[in-house]
Amino acid sequence: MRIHVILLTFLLLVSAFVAPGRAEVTVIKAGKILTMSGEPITDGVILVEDGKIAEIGTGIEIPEEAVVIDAGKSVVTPGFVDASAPAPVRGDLNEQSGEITPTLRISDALDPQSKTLKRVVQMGVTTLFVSPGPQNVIGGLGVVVKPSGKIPQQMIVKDEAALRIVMDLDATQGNRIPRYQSPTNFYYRRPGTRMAIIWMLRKSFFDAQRQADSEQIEDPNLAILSAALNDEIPIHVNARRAIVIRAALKVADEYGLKLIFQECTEGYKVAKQLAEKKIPVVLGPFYYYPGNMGQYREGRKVNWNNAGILAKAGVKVALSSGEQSGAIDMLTAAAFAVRHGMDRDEALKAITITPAEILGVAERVGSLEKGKDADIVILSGDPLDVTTRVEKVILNGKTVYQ
Amino acid sequence: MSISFCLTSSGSESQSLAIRASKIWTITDGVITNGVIIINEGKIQSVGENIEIPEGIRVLDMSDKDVMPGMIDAHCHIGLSLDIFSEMDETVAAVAADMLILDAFNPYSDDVKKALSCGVTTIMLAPGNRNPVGGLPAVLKLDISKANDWVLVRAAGVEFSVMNEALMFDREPTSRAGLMDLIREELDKAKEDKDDGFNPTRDILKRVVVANKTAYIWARNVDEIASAMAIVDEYELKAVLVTAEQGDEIADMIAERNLPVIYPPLLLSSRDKDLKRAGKMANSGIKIAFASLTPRTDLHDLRTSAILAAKYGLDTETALKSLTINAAEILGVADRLGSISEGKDADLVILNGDPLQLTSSIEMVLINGNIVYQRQEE
Amino acid sequence: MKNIKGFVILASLLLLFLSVGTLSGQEIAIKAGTILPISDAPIENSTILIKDRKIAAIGQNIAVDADARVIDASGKYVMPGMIDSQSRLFVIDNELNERRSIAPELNILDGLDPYIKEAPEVAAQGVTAVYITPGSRSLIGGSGAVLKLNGSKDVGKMLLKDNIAVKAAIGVSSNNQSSSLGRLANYSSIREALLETKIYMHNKEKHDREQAKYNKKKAEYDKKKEARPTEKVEKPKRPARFRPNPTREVLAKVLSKEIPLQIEVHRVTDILNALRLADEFGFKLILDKCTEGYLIAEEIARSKSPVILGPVSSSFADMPRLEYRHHDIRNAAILSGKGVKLALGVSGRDGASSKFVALAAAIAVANGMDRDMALRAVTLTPAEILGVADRIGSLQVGKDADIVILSGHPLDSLSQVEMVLIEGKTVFERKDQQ
Repeated sequence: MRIHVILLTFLLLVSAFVAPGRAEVTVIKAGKILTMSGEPITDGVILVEDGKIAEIGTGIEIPEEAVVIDAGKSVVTPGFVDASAPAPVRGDLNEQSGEITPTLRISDALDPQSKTLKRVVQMGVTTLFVSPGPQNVIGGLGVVVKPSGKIPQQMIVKDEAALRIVMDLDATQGNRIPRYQSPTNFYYRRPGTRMAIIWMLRKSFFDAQRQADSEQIEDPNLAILSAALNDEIPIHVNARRAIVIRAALKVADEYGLKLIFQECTEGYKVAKQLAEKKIPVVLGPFYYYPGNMGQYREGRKVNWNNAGILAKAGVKVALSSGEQSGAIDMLTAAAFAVRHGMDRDEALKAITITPAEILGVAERVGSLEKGKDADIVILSGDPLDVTTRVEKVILNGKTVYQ
Repeated sequence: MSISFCLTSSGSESQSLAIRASKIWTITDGVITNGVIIINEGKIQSVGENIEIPEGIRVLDMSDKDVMPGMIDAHCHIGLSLDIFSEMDETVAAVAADMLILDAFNPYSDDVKKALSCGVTTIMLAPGNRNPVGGLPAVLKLDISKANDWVLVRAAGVEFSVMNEALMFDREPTSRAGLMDLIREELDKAKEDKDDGFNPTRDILKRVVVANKTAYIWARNVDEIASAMAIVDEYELKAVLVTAEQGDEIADMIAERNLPVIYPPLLLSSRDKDLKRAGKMANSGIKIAFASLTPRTDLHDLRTSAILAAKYGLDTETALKSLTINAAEILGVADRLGSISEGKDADLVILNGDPLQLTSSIEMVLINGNIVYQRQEE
Repeated sequence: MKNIKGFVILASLLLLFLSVGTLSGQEIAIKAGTILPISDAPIENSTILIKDRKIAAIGQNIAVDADARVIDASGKYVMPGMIDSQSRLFVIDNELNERRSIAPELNILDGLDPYIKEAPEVAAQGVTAVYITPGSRSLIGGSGAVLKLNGSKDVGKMLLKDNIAVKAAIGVSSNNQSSSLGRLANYSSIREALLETKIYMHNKEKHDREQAKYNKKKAEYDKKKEARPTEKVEKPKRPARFRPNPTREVLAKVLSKEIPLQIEVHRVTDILNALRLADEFGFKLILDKCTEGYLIAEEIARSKSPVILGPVSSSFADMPRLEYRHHDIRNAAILSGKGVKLALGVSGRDGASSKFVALAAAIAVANGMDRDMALRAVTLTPAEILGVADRIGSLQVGKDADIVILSGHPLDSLSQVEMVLIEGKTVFERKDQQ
């Protein structure tokens, strides 16, 4: 009995000093603000109103009713944008009933209660690009989401944000003639090889073009591909090895496609072409855990100089977690990239504004500027220091982690 | 020590019957103490406190008992073959819209007798949740002794499922995104005005997208319910959510769309958190009807559900409605069932105490004025 | 803002001072509407006085200390804390089923997880004690213990009594498959174990006698040697070494009637086997589950073996196992009606189902059990069967102050538990919802 009373007393005393976060105006004071859109601000202030950044800079007047978060000497950055995030989805990610499924929207499978979301928020990620599974050649439409909201619709920032194409052998997964089963099993189908993957890709776009020319929209799948042909929907291609990247570039040339590469582990081998064609790249994880590699190990040996070489050649580079949940940290990815040749500022941009631009959501996220969403990360020190901790994460103006 | 069943012979329906009871739970008109129900030709002719009993008619003296309307199990799978789990779902094809669940029903199965002994007089016989586009549920009265009239509605709408249970590894769809895509594809095809011959799936789905027949959508978790709501919004469907267990977390969104909910049974092994959900949903204005989802659970659990829900926050009046009139309204048979009112079918349950008490046992059950179950004393 | 801060600090300091004044020796007086002692008829408008964790007095004109804590339970029902005599609370799935066939010496307390979140939910429904036994996968798997749900994370502090009974099982299939050969083997293995124990006890007794003789002779020898050290005296021979066997020791206690043997049985044949074993070896038998008991109620009554029955209905747990095929919801009523001493356990697969012990009693009443017997079956009867009736199970002077206050009668399905005390300490208090 006594213990309970003392505990209650303690809690009451503490509560008297902790400010409840219900006010509409929040002010964040920090020693160093890295806006990603200009020079860092020292001893600056960010004024947040209704989930958006109302003011940012020095010498800003703080309103009476504002809730103040004094981050002291901490460093503040925009919330990180993971352009190849682990999927907060329930059930199987991959639709096994077909290989070309452009109409599939991964937004239909989002699970706001997924534990993945909690994990990524703790690492400072406030915007995620979620793709359909990697086992289909054309897997469907990805979606840009934020880890907030009760139902999937409330999470979405941009739906049907990009079409996913997978060109490494991952797309052949499951497609074999099962030894002891009948040939009518629906896993008995193409592609089983890289040739078949590329063939299927060509055929799909060929059919799409033909349908578009004839002006009759019969097949909704082809309609999506037509839109992709017309640059109405961006195309993300997963390709790790250089030969695969080159093959993708060839198909892109044939059909006039504008591509964005994901993973691109051997991108440094084709850096010049990528720069010439102005193709942006979202690099995968800087380390593939052996347990996570699955059957298809080609191209999973990462050359850590990749990011640096691509950046120096003039390619727009974003760093991502490569759909690996839990272990890969955006900041660690950036630190590794810098250690192996990437420029500091570019690396930090590569986890914030650059992916936002690549995803087409840069008017809302990616940097700390007036009018953008108040997605803010407060760090205990230099972002590229391995001992730095994420102290607080603010999403749409609300503190979601501390 | 066995339970006896009186399957009355034909001709007794025209008999009149008067029942005297200590408490009559009419559901729609409050509780009548020391009242009388007069039954004529299978229907309730009158019910009230001071009703004169006409000369010569048979009187059932239940003056120390309670009477309530026969309970309606809003979703169950009884009377299907012995290998119970396989008959509920046509799992070979993802789209099984033209499967009539009534075709698989055995009206003489023990399940029916069990249902009667639990006070269930009408059921919605439904397919399971493993088909994205499932079959056609039926509304049945469990008085199988007559050759006619026990099938109230042969095909009461179309069953859909957006639950992960509808995903299979060896049949499409294998992913949730694929599931939603498939449902949309089928509904889009149904909207088209093509005439390319015999296509039962399209004709049936037309009922739902065009003719406004009810879509019964299985969805349990918040994300599944959100998917269901998305389809309802996009295709402007008249719909009912089946299961919606986590519905209390987004109750306002469900209430906004006037979606009723057929709620799964609350069990004596449920956690407190889950036991409170039904009450929360009802308090947000959602119409709830309980289902036993037999054989996944027991038919006893229907009344037990209402009692547990009442214990954990659902008000007693709504709890009783959720066993009777709410289900009748959702299933579209409220003109005949769901309350003890003049003109409705004489489907009644007689208990030796308050219906919302586990200590009360069911003594007698009548359908269309005929005694179809009577508890044997030892 | 500043004003609120100041007020809160003041309030906190005030509370701090108050807490200092709370002494563990403070009396508690519950002014009750209706007291259900269970051991006696209900008492209206009386007070229960609690002193030093025990019930000190029950009555109408009781002297209460001036600084006693008074709990106003007027218009409410007050009863002893309920007991689930077939609980799976604190059990982590497979950790209570040792695959070795005969292992009565295992200590169940080592296999429990007190951090389980369901415990507060169970206590909040007025269940203050649970009886947990090893699983039914071993033939003789260890002994059961009664724990109180006092909120402690230390199993030792929750323990009321262990070594309540040695648990055995006949004819229980662990994989939903049953072979009659298996059952025969079960029965004979247990019989064999008991026979071997008899031999062991005999050998032990023989050894003890010889040891006593040797001790006497040795004492004489030592005396002689001391008196005349040079004289040759025959040194007595030590008796052969006797190695105590922990397994046999436990079973010896069963055979000497110190601890009962609790046998889980479902089918009629198995129940009869258990009764036969009890006859042959003379141990105190407790029949556990006793699913088909209703078919041989008179025989069980004649044997005077108590029964811990559960689950009362299939609503408590799915009962896919073959043993439950002939489960009948009237089992409790029939056995109790024939005079069998019956405790109702929940026996849910989930530990949380222990909380609805009162509802199990209500279901038994609906199916023919006498109301008072049903309420007793979740309070005093299990306490008596488990040998803890000196401490819990009824509201009587001298027993532990494990008390439940309800808004209505416990068999009323819609009653709400208002407060639960264990040994005078509040473990649950209902906060107003809505």
